[in-house]
Amino acid sequence: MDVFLAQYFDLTVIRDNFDKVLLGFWVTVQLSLIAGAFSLIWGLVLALARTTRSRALLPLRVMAIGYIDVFRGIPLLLVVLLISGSLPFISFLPAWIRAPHLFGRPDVYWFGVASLTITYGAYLAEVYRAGIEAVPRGQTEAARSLGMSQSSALRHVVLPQAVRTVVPPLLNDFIALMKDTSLVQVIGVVEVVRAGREVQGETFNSSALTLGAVMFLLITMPLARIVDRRLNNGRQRLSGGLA
Amino acid sequence: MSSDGSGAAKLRISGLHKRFGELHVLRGVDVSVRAGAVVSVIGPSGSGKSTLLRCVNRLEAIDDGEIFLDEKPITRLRGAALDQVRRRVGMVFQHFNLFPHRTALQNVALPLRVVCGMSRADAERRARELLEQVGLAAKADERPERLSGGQQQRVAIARALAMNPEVMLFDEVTSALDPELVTDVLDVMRNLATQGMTMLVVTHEMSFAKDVSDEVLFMDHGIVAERGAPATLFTAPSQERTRRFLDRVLHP
Ligand SMILES: Nc1ncnc2c1ncn2[C@@H]1O[C@H](COP(=O)(O)OP(=O)(O)OP(=O)(O)O)[C@@H](O)[C@H]1O
Ligand SMILES: [Mg+2]
Repeated sequence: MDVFLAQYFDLTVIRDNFDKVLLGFWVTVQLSLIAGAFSLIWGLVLALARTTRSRALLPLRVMAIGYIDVFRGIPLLLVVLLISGSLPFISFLPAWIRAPHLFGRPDVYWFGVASLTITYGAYLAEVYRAGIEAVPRGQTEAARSLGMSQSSALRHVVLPQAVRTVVPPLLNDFIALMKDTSLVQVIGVVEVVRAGREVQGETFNSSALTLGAVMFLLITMPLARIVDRRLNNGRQRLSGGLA
Repeated sequence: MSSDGSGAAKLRISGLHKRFGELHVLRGVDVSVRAGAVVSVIGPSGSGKSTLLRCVNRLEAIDDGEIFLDEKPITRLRGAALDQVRRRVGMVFQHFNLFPHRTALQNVALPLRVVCGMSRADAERRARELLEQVGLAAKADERPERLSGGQQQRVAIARALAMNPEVMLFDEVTSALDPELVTDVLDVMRNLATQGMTMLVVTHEMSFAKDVSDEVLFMDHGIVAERGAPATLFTAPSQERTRRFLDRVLHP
């Protein structure tokens, strides 16, 4: 039992490496928030392209379907490797794509953000799509019958309702994204898991990783509770409305 | 009283055909509604009444035939021109279709802002007037889920009226309501008719059709099987199938 405690909960190791792990966690939070925000936008764009009924936009729709299928179907780690391993060598790309050093962050940081956005954009697109398709047809018809254009109806009537219903699944995907930021360490981003692993290598002790786990839980557990509460409220409102 | 001939038609539907795949739902429908007239459409379920109304403001694509508003064809309009025509033709649905994420007031104000480009303050002032007109000023700030079906339907009417339509289409607007709530909605419609609104009304309320309409159309299997002044059509229908339908709905 003591060995167990010493391996995972060694307070000296935790105290000595607290700053390093916290710094790593700060990178994790940054990656999550930045990639999360980009994914929210990119996913919405993809979902709109995916759900368009306009014949002129059919090619866009087909491309969106293809994109979503591909990036939902391959591992994030693969995307990370594909991007970081070869983008720098594609000479006709502009420098800010080949070797992004924006806001004082190294290129691997931005490759990580890009990979997460590319993959989670595809996931979120499907979430948004479910929300858009759950809005009854009568809503669009009422809006159109009042003389609203297709885009006004989408913007003022359909999307506000769709987004409201998909907040819980979006939060769920944010939790998943936050955990998946740990994959970005393979290209050299020192986020919380990488930080903990480095300590583990030096001390032959896992307590720094335990600390990282606790930091994750401090964020993900409250989020999961919020998701539950929102889902329950939604169900109650629904059954109350039918009664 | 006949809608053909006397006076210019506000709304005219000519030779309208609509198919859903193999199903030939409208098989050459002609309707003409004079300005200020009320035309009621009755008929059995599935005869194509809703489809007829939905074709008028082009919620359904039209396969053949023409629709005229003020004798100008609107059948092939698209884009902004079609949106413009839809403003002139208000529609009220069986299931209200209020925007659930907005209050009664916002339901009416939203199209005023989005379609007519009014400021928020102006739109809400106008919306309040309209809600008052349908007797719902007190409910302005309630969400639809907190309103009775009859109240929701009156908000939906106010919302359609907000665009100052020249023609109103009503699709069985009382048939999803509890019996005791029907009267309020019918009263609002009666008022509109008295004020001279041009109306095309699909209804199961035979007394309303009898009292308010200038003309009644009986639809069956995608055609207008019989048409006439309410006094004649309800008391002395010329067609056997009209008689059978009326027997069934008037003496259930
Ligand atoms: N979008 C659609 N796709 C396929 N068939 C449809 C569609 N809408 C209506 N129909 C069919 O067209 C026929 C006419 O429908 P419509 O709703 O116009 O009838 P209605 O006279 O309004 O009936 P009710 O009194 O029940 O409302 C029905 O057989 C219906 O099943
Ligand atoms: Mg119908």
